[in-house]
Amino acid sequence: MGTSKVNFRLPTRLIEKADVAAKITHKNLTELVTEALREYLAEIEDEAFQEAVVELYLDDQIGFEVLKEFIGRQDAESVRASKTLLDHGGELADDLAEL
Amino acid sequence: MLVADTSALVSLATVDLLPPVLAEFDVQTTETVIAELEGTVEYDDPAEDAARRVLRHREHLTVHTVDDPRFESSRIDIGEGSCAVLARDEAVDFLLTDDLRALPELQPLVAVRAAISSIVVNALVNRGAITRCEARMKLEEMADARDWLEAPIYRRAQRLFEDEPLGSE
Repeated sequence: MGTSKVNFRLPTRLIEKADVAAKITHKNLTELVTEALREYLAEIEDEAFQEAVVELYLDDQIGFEVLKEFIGRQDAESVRASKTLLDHGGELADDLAEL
Repeated sequence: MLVADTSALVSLATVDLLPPVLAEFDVQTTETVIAELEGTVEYDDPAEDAARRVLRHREHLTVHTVDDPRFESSRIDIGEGSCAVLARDEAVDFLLTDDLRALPELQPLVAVRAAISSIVVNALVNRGAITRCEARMKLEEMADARDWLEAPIYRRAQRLFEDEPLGSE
């Protein structure tokens, strides 16, 4: 899994506590933040969250690779195939109506 | 000609759209699908009512026997596999399925185009069999009956009819 450098501000008190926690657990700050973020994402990723992620993909606000990270490859492929049908829905419906 | 699998027939029956679909289109399916529907009725399945409604319309469906479904995987069940075989017939225009999880694996197996029931709803509007307002309501009902992966797809399909406020007509 690749990594990316990010730059953001955190409250000073939180950083101080995290530094202490890092010392006690023998982890560096990156490991600590990564672990905390993973746990947070696992906690909020209920069905309503997943549904919202699918909606972001349908709105072209996130790409397939990000969708896959959240809902898994197989389900992401299902959403992608369905989106393709939806994107051509009018045309398919016209052809179907002409049968 | 359309080949419809269990998921599509149940989905259309759930929102009472099977009669207009069967009136407007030549819909064909397989004995395997009929057996799946009979099993659904027998085993107190959540789709029991809809399956029973499909079976009541059986005489309006052309049912084929497919001896060797061939296609089966973790996502394609035996009924869908039998429809994929039937859809290889050159007279077939569309394979109709509402199993979105099977869709990516089903599409490459058949030379015909795949469609989901939202597209059939749209085609019914084009043929004047239902109104745009009815189409929106049916798609909303379909979305309500779906899980987190499928519901957004059916809700999104309503956008084609967004200029029609619910309750109009």
